[in-house]
Amino acid sequence: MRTELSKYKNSKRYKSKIRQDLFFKSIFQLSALLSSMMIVIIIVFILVKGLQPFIAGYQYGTRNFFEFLVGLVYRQDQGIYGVGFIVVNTLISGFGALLISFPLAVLTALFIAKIAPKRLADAMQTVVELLASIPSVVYGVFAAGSITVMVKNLGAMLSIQTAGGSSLLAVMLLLAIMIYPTITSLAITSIQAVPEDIQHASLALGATTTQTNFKVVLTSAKSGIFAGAILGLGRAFGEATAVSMVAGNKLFGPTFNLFDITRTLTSTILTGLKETTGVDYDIRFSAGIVLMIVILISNLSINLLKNRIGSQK
Amino acid sequence: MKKSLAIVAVLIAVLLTGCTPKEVKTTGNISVYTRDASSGTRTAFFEFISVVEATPLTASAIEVTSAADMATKVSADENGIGYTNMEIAAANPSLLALSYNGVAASETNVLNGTYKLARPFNLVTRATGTFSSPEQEQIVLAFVDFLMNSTEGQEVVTSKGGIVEAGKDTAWDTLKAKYPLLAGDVSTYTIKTGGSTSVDSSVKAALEAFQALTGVKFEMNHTGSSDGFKRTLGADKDSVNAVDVGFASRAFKAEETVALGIVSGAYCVDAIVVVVNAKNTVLTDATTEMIHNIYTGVTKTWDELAK
Amino acid sequence: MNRKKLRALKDRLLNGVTFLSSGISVVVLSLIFIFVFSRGWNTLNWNWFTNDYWSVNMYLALPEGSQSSYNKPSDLSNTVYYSSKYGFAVTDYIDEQKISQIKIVYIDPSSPLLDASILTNGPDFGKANPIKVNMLVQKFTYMDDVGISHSAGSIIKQNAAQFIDTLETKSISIKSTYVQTIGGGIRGSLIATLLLILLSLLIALPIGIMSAIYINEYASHGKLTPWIRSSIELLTGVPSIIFGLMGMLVLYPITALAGANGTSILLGSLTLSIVLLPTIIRSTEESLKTVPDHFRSASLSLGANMSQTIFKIVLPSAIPGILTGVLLSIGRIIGESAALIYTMGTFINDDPSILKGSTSLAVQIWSVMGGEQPNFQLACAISIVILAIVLFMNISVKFIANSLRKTW
Repeated sequence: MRTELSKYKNSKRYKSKIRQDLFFKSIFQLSALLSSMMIVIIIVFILVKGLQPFIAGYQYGTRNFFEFLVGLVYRQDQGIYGVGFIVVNTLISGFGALLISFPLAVLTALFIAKIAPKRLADAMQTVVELLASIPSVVYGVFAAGSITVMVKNLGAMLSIQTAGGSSLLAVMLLLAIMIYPTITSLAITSIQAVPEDIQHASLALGATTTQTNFKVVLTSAKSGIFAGAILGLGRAFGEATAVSMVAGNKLFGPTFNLFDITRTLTSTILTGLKETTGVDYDIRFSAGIVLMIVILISNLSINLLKNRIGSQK
Repeated sequence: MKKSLAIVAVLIAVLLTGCTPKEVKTTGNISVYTRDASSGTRTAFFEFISVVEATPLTASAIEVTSAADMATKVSADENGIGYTNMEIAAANPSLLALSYNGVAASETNVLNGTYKLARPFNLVTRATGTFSSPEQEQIVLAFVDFLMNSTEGQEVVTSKGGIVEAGKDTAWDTLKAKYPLLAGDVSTYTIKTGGSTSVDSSVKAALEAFQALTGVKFEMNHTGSSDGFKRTLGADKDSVNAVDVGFASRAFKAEETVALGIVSGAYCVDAIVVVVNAKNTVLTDATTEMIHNIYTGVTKTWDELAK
Repeated sequence: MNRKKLRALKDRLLNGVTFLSSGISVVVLSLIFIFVFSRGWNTLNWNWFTNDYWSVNMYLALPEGSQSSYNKPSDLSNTVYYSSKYGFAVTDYIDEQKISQIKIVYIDPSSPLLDASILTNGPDFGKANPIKVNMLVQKFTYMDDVGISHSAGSIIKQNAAQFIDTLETKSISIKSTYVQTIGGGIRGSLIATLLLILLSLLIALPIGIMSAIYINEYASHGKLTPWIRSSIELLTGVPSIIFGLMGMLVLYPITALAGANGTSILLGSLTLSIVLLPTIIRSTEESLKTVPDHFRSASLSLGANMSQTIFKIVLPSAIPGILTGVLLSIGRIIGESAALIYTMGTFINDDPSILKGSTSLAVQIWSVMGGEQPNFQLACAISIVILAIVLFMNISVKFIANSLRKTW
């Protein structure tokens, strides 16, 4: 038996099998490494390119990094590039969208997961999925053709003047619609994952189903709900095509007036589109870095907030 | 519950269909629209109204991307003011084209020199020997000749609002004899044009007509007058965006050494018009000083102008 | 008692609020659909799918002595102008650039317009090319009674009535015509989108599936695995515009080696394949996980080696998951715009090829909306197509998930 085995182990067939195994394993390993390297490649290259304008000896005239970060004017015609106000605008529009969308999304999720009868819940789930699958450029067309008109008319009713409806409010409404399905579907999943016995305990203590839903279920599901909010916020900050159709691209800022035009990091990155060389081209990568940092920091701070709320209970 | 849903629906419907109060007077802040910095129309216009470094453009101006975009934005904004070319302004019923210093924009007034807001549409080709092949050079020159000198070419330019001087009316059948290649199949050649977006419609029409006559293909990538020189003879002349013919909707600047190109010059004159929304009740005429004040931010509201 | 009533009221109120917020989403969805369909529906027809976006320009000759007398059909409306000399009718037409044109709406079966032949130099010179209904008249060059040629048509700013009047009263014969097709079609973008889907999947699928296999089959407990997993997961959080920047910067040199200058479908596919990796890896991994371990043990104990087990046992069982990944990816590719604007360009190309720039359907929307006259009709019509495809993909994913889910 033993000799049979060692004979087999010395056979050509066995060796080629081993070689084949090794070969495929290394290919698999290589692709896995390649896939995981992508994020590093993206970050490194954009960092290198985006920091170029701030390094001494830059061929189109070195810029001051600090002035770039806190600047309140972005005018290509005068060569002034300050993204400080753009960051503020991006934050305002993103968090504003979250403010509108978050309560609606959570309530809808509760409705679908707990309150609605089965068929209505299924129908609503489909509605949410449909909203999630609409591409951003279609949202952009919709926003440019109807949200702006709405905002313009609303402004006219309140006798506030708008630039044809392109405004901070339009951006917020658009983003609110776009992040709504993201938050809702994550909230549904986490509400459905709340253990039955907690709910039974609440009901046994005399709470009504509605009280249980609002007080017990929502509290227990909050980590999933916050995860949804983070994802939604990331989408809001990173959304480019649709936003640039309604933002209006203001030259200075920040914009606090809901009916005034605004400029976000993504709409800024898309405006330099025609350029292929020079500062206008490189500065987009710098704006890209800032965008990634904004997303990172806001994710971290929401996480922190979540832990705060968690520790209080 | 259903009731409240219905209320929401009605409210949204009302907002969508619009119930703009019938405002008679234009009042409030002026929304100043401007083209972006690479635009030749902007350069030419700002020269006329002396918006220069010492008295720069107001920071609250809203940038638009093209002559047509300008028309769209101002026609959607009752408080807007902007500038675009005559043809585009005339085509849009929601725009009101203002006369300038009392003179209405028209072909006659431009040709007799009374309407001052006029600028040339210029073109420049690459330098000899820098085309992808000598054949390409010949084809491009044929097109430029067609555009600048032939009856057919100038006819097309006129149809798109370009104002041409009389006298350039050699029949294309006569001109084309200079370009032996055109007698054969030239459908494998592609003429690339770039530069000003204001020339877009006339150049497109001319290229289409030229294509019908000769079979040559074309590719237009117009991004702004400053790229007209840059992409034929300047920094981008060998980049992926290089073009055969560059256009500028203004006079070439001194630092743009267009003499290096085989051909350079104007193929027509075009009028810039100051436009406001058709619902505007304040303005029908623009004076240099008034427009200067608006674009530098000295005048901020329509009420100041209404006085 | 009162408190109980209050509580019931409060409960009903709270439930009502959840109902209301769900209602809002339904309203929004319907608004989007109504908006897109009401504006885009009229543009949709079969020709639109097969037409070029750019007009085709034709310079045509008409046979000598072409004038005669044709009977006017009785069913022409009064906005249509009829030429009895040449047997065709035209009407005014405003094109998408808001420019007024003259459109041919009727041609008599024996009209000389049907005997037109190509005057453009080249291989097609002299070939018959009948003028068709729906073409736009730029110019008719006609001879007057003293033998001098003149132009008529929209090129000298005539409208339909003036154009027909000129021909009827002044012309003796037509020398040549310059006509255009209407254009505005999506054939080019449709082909480009298909190429993009094929290429992206061709690149992303093998790498994605192999990565998933490594993570799940070889290294599920390895030290590096959590790192690999989370760095792939991080990719999902990167906004697509950043992918666009990255593609332009990192991947462009690769496509330049292949001979592309500037933006190209290849560059777009390379960029998108990175965007797709997390989706493909995740859905493959999910389905690899559902393959029971005793399948693997059985295969291994029968003497198959690891790679044989993977290719013959594990992968076939994971096909539904991979398919789901493919469908989700196609949905993503079709909807993607920001990453492609930089890498595939915004020039609508009627003749797309892998090494040339073109627009996908989504980017064509961006192109017709931005820049020149925003064209809502066309944008909405393309949106309908995109929505239809994306919805079909999503329904298929659900269907596969439900019907192919095996229970071992």
